[in-house]
Amino acid sequence: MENKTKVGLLILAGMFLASLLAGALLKSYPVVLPVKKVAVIELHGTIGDVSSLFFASNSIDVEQTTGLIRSAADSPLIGAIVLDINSEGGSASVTQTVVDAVRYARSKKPVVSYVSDVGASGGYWIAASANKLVVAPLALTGSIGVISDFVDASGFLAKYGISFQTVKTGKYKDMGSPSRPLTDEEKKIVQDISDQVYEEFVNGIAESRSMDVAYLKTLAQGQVFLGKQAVKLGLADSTGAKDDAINLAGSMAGMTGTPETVQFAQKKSLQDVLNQLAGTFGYAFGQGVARVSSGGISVST
Amino acid sequence: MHAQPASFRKRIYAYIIDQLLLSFAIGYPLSLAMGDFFDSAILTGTLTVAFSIIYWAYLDFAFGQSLGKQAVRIRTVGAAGLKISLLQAAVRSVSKAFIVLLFLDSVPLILGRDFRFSDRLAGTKVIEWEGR
Repeated sequence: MENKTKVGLLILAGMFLASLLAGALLKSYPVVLPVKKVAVIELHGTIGDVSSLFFASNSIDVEQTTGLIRSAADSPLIGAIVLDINSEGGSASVTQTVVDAVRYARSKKPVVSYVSDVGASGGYWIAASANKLVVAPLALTGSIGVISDFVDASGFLAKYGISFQTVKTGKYKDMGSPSRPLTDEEKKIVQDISDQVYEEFVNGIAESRSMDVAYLKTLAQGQVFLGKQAVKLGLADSTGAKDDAINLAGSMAGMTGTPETVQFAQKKSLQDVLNQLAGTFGYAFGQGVARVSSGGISVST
Repeated sequence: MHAQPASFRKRIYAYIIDQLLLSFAIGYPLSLAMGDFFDSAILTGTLTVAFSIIYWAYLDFAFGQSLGKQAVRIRTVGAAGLKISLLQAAVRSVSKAFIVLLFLDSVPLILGRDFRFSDRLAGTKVIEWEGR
């Protein structure tokens, strides 16, 4: 390689390192960008670990989402956060992980949730964890409750002469298997788990929104509310549009005028795009197949 | 010997190669470091303009050739065919960092001449170069 080529490449390498350093420094010490922005983070779809959702049509990747929330919370360039939520819930455990990230964020700066269409069950739990909750007047929200459902295909299998041969090491190891119905004892175990998750769910919302637990439980029987009803009942703070949520977040952060926003979105892989193409049918079919084949317990909010 | 002016096509190829290299050297690390905040026109614009001018000016001054020019075998020289000064190199490099300015600067090239306005201003020309 010629000397002049080496020098040229060396200059480019130097620029690469300098850009890396400059970017990192300016992200931490925003001297060039004194105007703070409102981060808008989308949480659209079913709450769950993407890798475990075969044929998932639209799901919230917990790792990416919590990363985005914490990143916005830690950034000195961000003055407030708006969570743009459109979710009917999903895995209870994953929901709580996202709730923890939202709580972390609100300990650092104002967080406002906005529900445009559906913020139900786990979606509502996340929304309610913010400092303020703005809902569209006709959005569906609430659905506070826990559900665990199992497929009992024993009648179907018997009809076609199919029998399961199960070898197990523990009494409850095949609990939830589609080859037989749950026993009363097993139903009680699942009910206990659901009750515990429900308590966490309700107490979490009550704490975040400073509500009386007993009152909240009257609203937490799985019923769904329209946005304007939710405001009257104290489940949300106001009705409005996304811009109202952004303006509210900005004013809570002490910003004047219309705040500038920066969009934080999950990165979509090719697999995500293909999964989306699989559509609702694929999702429903996949869930059914997964349940029948796994025979496991899933607790959903 | 009278040096052959570099063709418009080769000058465009050289520019595209340099732009790709600069994008990788500046844009990519910035996006790595800034992550979700890589939307600042002020930051990215300032760094890109400054680094691009430094890159073109220094290499034109030191060797008469950026990496793009080396690849397509063309070279910047003074009006008398000699090595250019750093000031000359800087003057002819400024417009390259701004696409609209570069377009206006390149009107003579587009019209079939063999220079940009900034070449005239700096007293430089770009020639075919087969040597090392």
